[in-house]
Amino acid sequence: MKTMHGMRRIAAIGVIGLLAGLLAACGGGGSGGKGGEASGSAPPEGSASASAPASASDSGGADSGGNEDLKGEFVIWTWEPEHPTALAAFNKKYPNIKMKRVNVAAGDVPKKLQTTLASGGELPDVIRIERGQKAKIFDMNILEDLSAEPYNADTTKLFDYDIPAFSVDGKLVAIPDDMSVAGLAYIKPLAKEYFGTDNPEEMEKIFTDWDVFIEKGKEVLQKSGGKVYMFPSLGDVNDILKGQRPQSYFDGNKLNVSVLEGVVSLLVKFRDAGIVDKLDQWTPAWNASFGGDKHIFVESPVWMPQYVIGPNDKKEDRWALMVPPGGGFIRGGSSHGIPKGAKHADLAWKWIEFTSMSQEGAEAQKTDGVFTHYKPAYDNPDFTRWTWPNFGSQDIGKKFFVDISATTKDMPENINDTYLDEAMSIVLQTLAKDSSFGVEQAMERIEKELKAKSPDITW
Amino acid sequence: MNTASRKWVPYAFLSPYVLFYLAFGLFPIVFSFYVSLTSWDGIGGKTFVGLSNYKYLFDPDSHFFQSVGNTLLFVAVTLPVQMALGLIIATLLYSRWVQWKGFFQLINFLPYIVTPVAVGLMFNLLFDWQAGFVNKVLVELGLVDEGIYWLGEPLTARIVIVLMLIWKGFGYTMVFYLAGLANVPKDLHEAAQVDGASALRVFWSITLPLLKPVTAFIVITGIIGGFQLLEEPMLLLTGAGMGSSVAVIGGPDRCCLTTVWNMYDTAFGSTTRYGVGAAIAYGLCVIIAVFSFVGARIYKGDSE
Repeated sequence: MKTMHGMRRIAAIGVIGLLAGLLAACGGGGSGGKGGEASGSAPPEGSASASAPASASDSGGADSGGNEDLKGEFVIWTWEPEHPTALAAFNKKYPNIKMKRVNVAAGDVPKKLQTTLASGGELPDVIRIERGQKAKIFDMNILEDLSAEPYNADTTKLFDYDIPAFSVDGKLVAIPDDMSVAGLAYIKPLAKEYFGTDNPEEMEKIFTDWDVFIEKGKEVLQKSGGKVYMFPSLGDVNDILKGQRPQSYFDGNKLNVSVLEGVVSLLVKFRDAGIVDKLDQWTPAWNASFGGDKHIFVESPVWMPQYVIGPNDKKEDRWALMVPPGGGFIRGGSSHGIPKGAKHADLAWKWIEFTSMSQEGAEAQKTDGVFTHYKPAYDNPDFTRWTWPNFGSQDIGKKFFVDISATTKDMPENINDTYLDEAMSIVLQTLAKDSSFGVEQAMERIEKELKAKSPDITW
Repeated sequence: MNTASRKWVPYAFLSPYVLFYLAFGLFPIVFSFYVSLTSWDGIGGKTFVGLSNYKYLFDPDSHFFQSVGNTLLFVAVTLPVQMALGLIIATLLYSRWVQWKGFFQLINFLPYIVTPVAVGLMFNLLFDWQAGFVNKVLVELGLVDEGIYWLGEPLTARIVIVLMLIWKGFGYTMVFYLAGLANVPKDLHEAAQVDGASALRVFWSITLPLLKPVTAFIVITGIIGGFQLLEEPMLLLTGAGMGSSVAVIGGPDRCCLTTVWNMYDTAFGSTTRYGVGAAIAYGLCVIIAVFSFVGARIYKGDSE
């Protein structure tokens, strides 16, 4: 009997414990956040508390103009691997600021933001924003104006083309991190064979505009017996033409039809000339094309030599970089923004300011393989100098950051651009497989797709 | 302790489940229905729009009925093949002619436990237009002059998905048929053999009718599972995309857009219309309920 009684007690305690656990878990939304805050033992928002004890102070921090009074931990959502040199330099300058990385895949950032906001969860202090997701995140209207108090970002330290691209309604909502200006890379032996030169400056003189480029492409096609193409994918051509568009695709909800039609017409011209291969971007075949000798040109943003050409082409000194007909453009890249109401916005801003808007940050990031948008750094030729084995001795740093950058422009985008990107991917796929699919059909298809995604878009 | 004072005990023991169900079952169901009656992007406030999200499902732009049609097509084509294949293999494995039964059971069941993401990516690599193994073999054998654009044409993309689903699902039906075969009384087979019935006749007249309940179960669960199809076609048709490249949602001409993919894309993908997404989910719920109801009636009829 006693045993039974004891068993009942144990069972009752178990049930109560389970219930308490369940209730605690259900009500954990608020307290979880508080727990996170405590770990940083940070002073209240915006404070640079003078009372913070300078325990075990690092003299290096003071020497480098740092601020040991800024203390606490900020949270960053990022997919980027840690930049060890930049982090070490930042820690030296701000020894009491700690960074907590939360790994979120680039494409998942908007989703995670939305679900966090919808569920009333706590947003991080900094969000890394990939260019493909930029318009969507900017459209949420959740980011702080970094050109205003208390941040006062000095926009003169960024490139001119950055300001409209990272602003919404005149407010700078993100600071670009890694450089993504793009030029045209080409395989030198093929250029020499078909154009008589592999010198970038001479190539730039030959390819004055896209019409000349298409004509030259037809000659290559003829000479090679249809085996050598100018580009591996129509998607590459679209990236370039889109990047070079003279105006934004959208003014609010109004589609700039003439700008879009101009790009589509040129795409159709490329397709009809037969000078672009039918590979899909980012497929194994597309990657393999960089090690082959069937495709002369490829779009080349700053990250292309290191992350795409290098891993796919083991031969050295085979490539060169030039300014494309029509000038440089922006392809990819990421930026950092601070969500409104971030608890440690002051600490997060110090991180952004240091890594993306200071000379020390630019130098540290360069060691980690990242070129930032801090413009003054590029006045120094020693800083811009950058060679890469695939490009031999060519100073591609100078080509990217001086020659191409000088001709680069960028356009603001809004949420409608993401719908257009999707519609364009359908159009590109259809253009590649159906030679009768022309400008008119493409525009009709785009209109249909846009209407389905956002009925507010007007033509 | 008397009975009156112990009245709380059953409630206390039931409450963990009830609370879990209320928090993670009933509340999401009710809340998502409420969301389906609103226009909401997850950030701003919810605007009550009545049934207009449901009305939008009848608009061709919502792709709702197209996605339901695609899903039905996949179920209608793959399920019978999966069942036939599962039954044949189960019968072979159950017969006395096959050695190493456990090994073959495992081999045939393995595709079913491969994660859907891996299945999608694997078939994406196999059927890649330029670098895919299938095209390489076809070209090598001289069956085609240049690779087939498997994932770029509606018909071939659907064929690839059907093949993928058959490959993944036949092991599941095989396991159920094996269990069903074990329950068929041996004496019936023996009696038929004594009467001079051929093996085929025994299978057709005794085994197959006795497997009817298993078949009905597979059909019902297969239809419900088929309607929830998402990861495999999504990864197959978008898996190669990296960086900023934008994938074509639903494959060429949205020929492979399934209902759940449509819901996911509407709510969390290219648009963030939670209201329409929830309406699609409820539309799907109604369709699954109808099929389950019909299936259950058939199942009940069989049992009786």
